[in-house]
Amino acid sequence: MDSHAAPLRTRDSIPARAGVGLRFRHHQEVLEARPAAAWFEVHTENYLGGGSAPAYLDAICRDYPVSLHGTGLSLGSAEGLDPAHLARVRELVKRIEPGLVSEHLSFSVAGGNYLADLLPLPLTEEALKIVCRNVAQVQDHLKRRILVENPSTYLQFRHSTIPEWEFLALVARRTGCGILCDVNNIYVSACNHGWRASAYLAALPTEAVAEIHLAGHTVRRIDEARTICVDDHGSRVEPEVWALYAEALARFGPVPTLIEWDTNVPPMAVLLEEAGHAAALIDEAESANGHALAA
Amino acid sequence: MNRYVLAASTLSTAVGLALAIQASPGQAQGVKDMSKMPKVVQDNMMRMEQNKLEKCYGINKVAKNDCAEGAHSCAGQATKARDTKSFVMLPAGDCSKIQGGKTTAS
Amino acid sequence: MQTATPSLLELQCALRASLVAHDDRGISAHVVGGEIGAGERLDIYRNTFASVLTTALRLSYPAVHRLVGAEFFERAVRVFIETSPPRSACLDDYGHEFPDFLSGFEPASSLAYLPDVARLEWSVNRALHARDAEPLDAQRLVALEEAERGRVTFALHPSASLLRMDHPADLIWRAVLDEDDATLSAIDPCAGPVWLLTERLPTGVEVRRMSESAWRFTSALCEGRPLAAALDDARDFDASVVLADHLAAGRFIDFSLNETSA
Repeated sequence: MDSHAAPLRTRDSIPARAGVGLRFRHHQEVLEARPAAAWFEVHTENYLGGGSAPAYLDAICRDYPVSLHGTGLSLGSAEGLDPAHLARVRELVKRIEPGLVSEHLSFSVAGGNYLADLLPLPLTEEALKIVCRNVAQVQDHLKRRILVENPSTYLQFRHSTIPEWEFLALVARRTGCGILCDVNNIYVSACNHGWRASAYLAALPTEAVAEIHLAGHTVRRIDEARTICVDDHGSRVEPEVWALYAEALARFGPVPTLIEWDTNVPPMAVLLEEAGHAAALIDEAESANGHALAA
Repeated sequence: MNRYVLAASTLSTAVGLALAIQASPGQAQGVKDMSKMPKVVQDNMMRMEQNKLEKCYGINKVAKNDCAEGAHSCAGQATKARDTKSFVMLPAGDCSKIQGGKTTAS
Repeated sequence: MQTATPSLLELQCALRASLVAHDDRGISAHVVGGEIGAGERLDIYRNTFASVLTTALRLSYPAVHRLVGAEFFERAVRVFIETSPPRSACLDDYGHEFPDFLSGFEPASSLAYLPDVARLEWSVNRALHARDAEPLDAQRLVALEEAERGRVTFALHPSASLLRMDHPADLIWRAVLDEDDATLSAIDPCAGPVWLLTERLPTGVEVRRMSESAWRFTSALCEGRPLAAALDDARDFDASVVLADHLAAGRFIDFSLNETSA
C-alpha cells in the first residue's frame, strides 16, 4: 500500500468507495458471482419480515459492507414516529449491524396512513423542531448516528422560511446526525425550483456529509412550453450530475458514494460501470486531497 | 377410554413419531433458521427458492418498497389521475378460460 | 383568498386528503404555483402514491391480476386504495383487506371464486414474508405430566395459515400462475369446499389440501382448544399421525397449557 496516499476517510464502516444499490433481482448473482462492488446499500423496508429476503441479506453481509437506507420512518411527521415501525428497524439494525443507516428529510405518514412517497415538508421553524425531535428519537432508539438525505421535490410551500440547505445543516448541527447528500436530488430540485445547485453544495457543512447518492433522472415535457425534472432512478447518471458530483468531492473529499437505480433495474455490470465512473472521480479527489495535505 | 387418557396417549405417540421422523436422515426438518446453517446449505436453499411461484410474487425480482424510494420512478408521468367513480368495466383476463366461472354481469 | 398558515399536522393531513381522496381544497392554497400549477405538481405525488400501491398489490395478488386482466385490476385497486390506504410503511403488509373488498365489489361479482383466490394469495404473501421463528422442539413435550397432556394447545408458525374455502381456489390459483389453460378450462369453480394449509418451507411456499377432519383438528388446536377437546371431534383419522406431521415439519412454534378444563 502506498504510504504517501492520504488516508481514506472511512466515516462509520462503509468505505469511501463507490457502492451499488442492491435490488432483489441481483440477490442470487451477488452470492454466486461476488461482483466487485465496494459495498451495497439496501432499502430497509424490504427486509423487515422473515423468509428469503433477510436470509439473502444475512449472507451478503458476510462478504460486503452493507448500508441500510430507509423509506418509511417519516422523520418529518408532526404526529411522531410509528413506534412499531421503529422497533422493526431496530431489530434489523441489531441483526445485521449495517455500516450506515440513513433516512430522508421528508414525511410519508399522515393521519396514521403511509403515503408511499417521500413528501416535501414546509421548511419552517415548527418543522425544524419536529424533524430534530424525530431524528433524535431514532438515534436514541437505534443507539447510533443516522444520516438524513435531501429529497427531490416538485413543489414548495408558500410559508416555508428556511432554505432546504440551511434546514439540513441545522438538523445536522442540532441532532448530530450526518448528511446523505444526494447530488442528483439537488440537481433535480434546483431545476424544478430555480435554485443554484453549486450554492446548495457550498452551504452544506463539510464535516457532516457522510455519504453521496447518484442516480438518473428524466426531463419530462408537460406541454410545448413547460418541462419538469423527474427523479426516476431509471437511467445512467446524467453528465450534469457527474459534474456536480466532482464539485461535491472537491468540497467534501472522498465520501462513500452510491449508484441508485430503481426503475427498469439493469444488469449488475451496468451498475458496476457507473460505480467505476464514480470510483475514478473519488481517486482523483483523493490524490488532489493528498497533494493539498502535502503542500 | 377417558378423554384425558386418550389425549395423553395421542400426544405421546405423536411426539415419539415426530422425533423418529426428525432423526431419520434425509427428512425435511421443517422451517429452520437459515442464518445458523452452513453457507453452502443456505446457498442451495436459495437456489431452490427460485421456483416459478416465487417469481410470480416478485421475490426474485421486485421489492415493494423500492418504488417508494422517492424515485418517482414507478410514477408514470404528471398526468391527471383517472376518475375512479365511473367504473363500468368487467373483468377481462384469464377468468374467461374457466368454464362456467364467468356468468354474464347482471 | 386569505389563508392562515397551517400547522405542520394540518398541512400533512391536507396533503393526505389530496393523495388519498383527490381533494386539493386544503392544500393547493399553500403550494407555490408558477408556470406549473399546484394541481399539476400534486399530480406527480398522487401518481407515485397510486402506482407504488398498485405495484405492491399486483405483486401480492398476481393470480387475481391475471384473472381480471391488467386494466380491471388497476381500476379496482384505485378504488380500494381510497378506502384502505396502508397503515404500515412496510408494503409487504399492505392489502390484507383486499379479498374482503373484492367480495363486496360489484363489478367483480360475476366471479364468485375471486375473493377466495385473493384470500389464498394473501396467505401466500404472508407465508413469503412472515417473521422467522424457531420451531417447537418436540422434546419439550416429553417432559409434560400425564395430566397436563390433555390441556396442550399450540401456536402455529407465523408463516402458516389454515383456510377453508367454498371454491377450489388452490386449483384456480395454481393453473393461472402456471399458465396452464387446459387445467384451467377443466376446473369446476363450484367444486368446493376445500380445506387448505399454506406455509413456508426451506424449499419455498407450499399450499396443500388437508382432509376436513384433520384441518378442523389442527385449527382447533391452534385456536386455543386443548388437545382433549380437539380430539372429541377427531374420529375418522389418526390424530397422532397428523400431530406428528405438524411437529416434525416445525409447523408449531410453541405450546401452552389451557387453564380451563375441557
